[in-house]
Amino acid sequence: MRARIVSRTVPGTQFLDPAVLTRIGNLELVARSVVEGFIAGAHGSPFLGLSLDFAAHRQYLPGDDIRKIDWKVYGRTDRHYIKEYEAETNANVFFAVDASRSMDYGSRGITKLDYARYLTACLAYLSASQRDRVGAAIFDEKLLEYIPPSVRHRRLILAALDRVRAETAGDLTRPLTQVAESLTRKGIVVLVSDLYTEPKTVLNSVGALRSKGQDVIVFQILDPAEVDFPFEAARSFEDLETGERLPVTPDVMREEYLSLVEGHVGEISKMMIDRAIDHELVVTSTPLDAVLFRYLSHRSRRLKGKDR
Amino acid sequence: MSFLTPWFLAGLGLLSIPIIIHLTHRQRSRVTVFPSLMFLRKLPFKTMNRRRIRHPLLFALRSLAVILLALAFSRPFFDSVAAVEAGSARDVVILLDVSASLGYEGRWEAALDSARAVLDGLGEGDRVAVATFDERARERVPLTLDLVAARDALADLSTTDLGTRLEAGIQLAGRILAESEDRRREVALVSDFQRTGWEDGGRVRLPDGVSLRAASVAPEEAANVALAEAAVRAADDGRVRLVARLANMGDAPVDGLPVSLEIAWRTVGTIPVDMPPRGTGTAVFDDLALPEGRSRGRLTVPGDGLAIDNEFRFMAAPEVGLRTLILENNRRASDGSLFLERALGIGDAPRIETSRTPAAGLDAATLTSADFAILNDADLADAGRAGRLREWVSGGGGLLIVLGRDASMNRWSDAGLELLGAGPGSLVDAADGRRLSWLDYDHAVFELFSGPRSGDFSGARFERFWSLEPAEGTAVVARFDSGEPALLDRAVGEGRVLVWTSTLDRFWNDLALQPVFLPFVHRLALHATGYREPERWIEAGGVLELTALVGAGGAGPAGLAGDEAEWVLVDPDGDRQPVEVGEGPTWIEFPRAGFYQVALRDDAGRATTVAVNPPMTESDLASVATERVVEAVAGVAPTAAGTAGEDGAAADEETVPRRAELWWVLLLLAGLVLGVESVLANRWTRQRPVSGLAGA
Repeated sequence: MRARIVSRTVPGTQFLDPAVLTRIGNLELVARSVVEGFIAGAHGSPFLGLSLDFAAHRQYLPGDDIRKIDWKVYGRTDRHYIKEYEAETNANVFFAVDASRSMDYGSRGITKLDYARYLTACLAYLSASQRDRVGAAIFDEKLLEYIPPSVRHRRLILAALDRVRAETAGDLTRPLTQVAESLTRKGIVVLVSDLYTEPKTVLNSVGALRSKGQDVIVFQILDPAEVDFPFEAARSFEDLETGERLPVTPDVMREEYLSLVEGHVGEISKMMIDRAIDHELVVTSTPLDAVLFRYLSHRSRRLKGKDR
Repeated sequence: MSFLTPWFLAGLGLLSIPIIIHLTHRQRSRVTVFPSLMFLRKLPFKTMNRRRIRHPLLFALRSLAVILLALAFSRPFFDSVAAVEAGSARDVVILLDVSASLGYEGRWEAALDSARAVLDGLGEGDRVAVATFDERARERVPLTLDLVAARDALADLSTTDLGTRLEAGIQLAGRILAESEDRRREVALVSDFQRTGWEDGGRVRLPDGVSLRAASVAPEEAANVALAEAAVRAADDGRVRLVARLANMGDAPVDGLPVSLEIAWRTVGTIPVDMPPRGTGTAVFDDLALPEGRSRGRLTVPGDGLAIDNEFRFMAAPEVGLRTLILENNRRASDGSLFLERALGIGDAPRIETSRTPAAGLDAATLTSADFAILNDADLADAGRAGRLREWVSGGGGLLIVLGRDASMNRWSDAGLELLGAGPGSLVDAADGRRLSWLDYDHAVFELFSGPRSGDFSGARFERFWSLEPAEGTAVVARFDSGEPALLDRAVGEGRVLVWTSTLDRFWNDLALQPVFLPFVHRLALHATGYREPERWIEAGGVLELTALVGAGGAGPAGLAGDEAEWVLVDPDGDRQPVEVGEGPTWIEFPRAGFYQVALRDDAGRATTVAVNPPMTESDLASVATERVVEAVAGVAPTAAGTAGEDGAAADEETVPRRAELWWVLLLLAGLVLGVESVLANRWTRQRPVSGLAGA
């Protein structure tokens, strides 16, 4: 089975091209641009199914669910008003970002780590704007940054993402175990990594979070070159993490390589499904809106399940 | 098979390069950073694939191409010479230059040393021949095993006074070795490689399989002053001026070089001469009174490196010039002879002395004192005058008849018309003008003008002329554009009559104003009188015909071929040898510089002297590069350069084998193989990407 790439683009949000985002230096600006653009371009409001107490009315804006229109107010005032509710409880969203050396690879202008930065920043911005408590852990073979969940930690997360550098080899088990142990409240854990380790190791690492009752979403970030292997002439390949070199004839080995990658991703995906873990393979050429949509869908499902 | 440049075989080591690159270098040269080798490391065939030769045929073709190229550059050859084992018997021709330039100080000894060195290098079973060349090549010792004979022959050799012709020697050496079989054949050429001796270079080649070893004895710098010429010119009162011309062949200037002149064994004077580097100079001896008849003259300069051209010999005689008589119309005084007289008076080779006299008063005594007569615009109505002229012409005189307005041809006597060589003519009045349209450029008069830009007769415009009908035996050598003759030529007895059908002044035409007028009238005078400049000297190796020689000596041609006439040639050393006189022309060769005498054995009074000088070309000691000679003669570039030592000692030798080489065949094969390889490689790589390098 060949890994499918998430590319469900929301119409009107093509400006969220990852390569374009790299030209924006400020991470918060990137996140705000992406999220607000994403929300404004969506035909339906992304904030679905929230269990909230009524707080106030506000004027209807295009894109709002018409079911939320207060028809009584309309009858009195002949204007459309939306009922706004205050969240009863905020979700706990924690981001685990892999900053190992292998993430520092990009064949088309953006590295996997940059993509992970933007994705995490956008998700954090989105979550914070919904009054979720957001926290993050950035790790390679150990924890590099740890920001506990809080409604006020959005800027800290963005700052941590901004300063992190991919310098050493990575390891999932130890950092994720530490994260699992640190999270005392159930919530959503978003793991962003290229998962360059054996599927069983991935499962064990993620399983530690799952066993703590966390709802886990795994975004496996890969570069297009890793999924297409477009190289032709014979050359030596150098491992980013270890520096090891291997002579390879890509044109001959492509099929076998792609088969191995496909098997690896497929195996991980299957194991995740078995453990009720959402797994998405994201190629860095994919616009961020598709990933945001995926995240919101997942969050919505989770909240609905909780309501039930 | 042998190789001329075997070190190129090291190029076979190139075969290992594609393999080494394939196995090691290529992968290292292109490095692609990749996030993880986790998957690549799992591919089991990666290293096997690198080391496997995917297309053995391509690899074989490319290897074969490399092998062929290496072999081609190492220049293998096969021939009968190479088939003989190294150190086996050789046939060697020692080709020694004996021309006059080898007389330059030290050259001859160095040349002999080089030749002896060749003899010393011969081994058992080697044969040697000795040949020499100057202008001609001679085989002195045929191919022999007797090296002593060859050494003795060398000892007997000496330089000659002749010029250099390298190709003659090469040809002879080639002929000597042509019949040599199953032996290594070599030519050892010892020469100073004079540039003047190599003018015909490149036309002669040694036979295939003959190698050429060249040794140059040319010094790097050779200073030399040569006496080049002695010109005797008539001056006033029967005296002469002698101009000696010298050439400085060296790179240094010459100051105050004393040039001495001897006439008839008596020193006349010495004049200092300055000359720039590679320049010329003249020494002018004025106001000389020469003895009667021909006298021996000798110019000398102090000795330098080449002694043979420090002396110049010549025969001096009082310059008599051409005595010309202009016969004018006596019916009216005119300046009709002005242009003629002025034109003839210019020049000194020969000097032409003119005098005018009325045609009516012409007598035999007046004619006797003239060599050339011009009947200028006068008639021959008087048969007696015509008869006297005819008699004089028959005796060897030269007559030019110029027909003008006073020629009055209707009054001419039969004797006059007979001398004219044409019937009575009619006057042509061409108001629109005629031009000379046809000239016989093979004729002696016009031969001078045959070259391009050598004189234009078409510019002259003729308004009047006499139309003549030439009689049998009269040649027309120039015509007008209307077809009428302009110049007639006829031999009468020992003399000659020329007829110009218009005037030689400005009355009927403007030829006298054309640039060709002066040389034209000079050529008319020389041709009519049969004038030949006396031979004052000849170059060594030249030949002269006995009749001309004795005539020049004043003894006359009579009795040359008779039974009683026994001629002898006395050479510069005084040795006498008989001259064989046969039915045809008798040619006598003068091979050495000096004074020769040709005389009747029993009549010392009937003798003539010939001055002989070495060829001027031998004085120019500049040499041609031996590499150039060897390349032209052997057909291949030399392996080493030969240069001359400062002292003229034998220079480095060079050996150039000339053999049936195979390099071009191998190069052709390599190209063919690479072509096939390209086709196959393109076809296979189009079908399937090829991994690794170079089919290997």
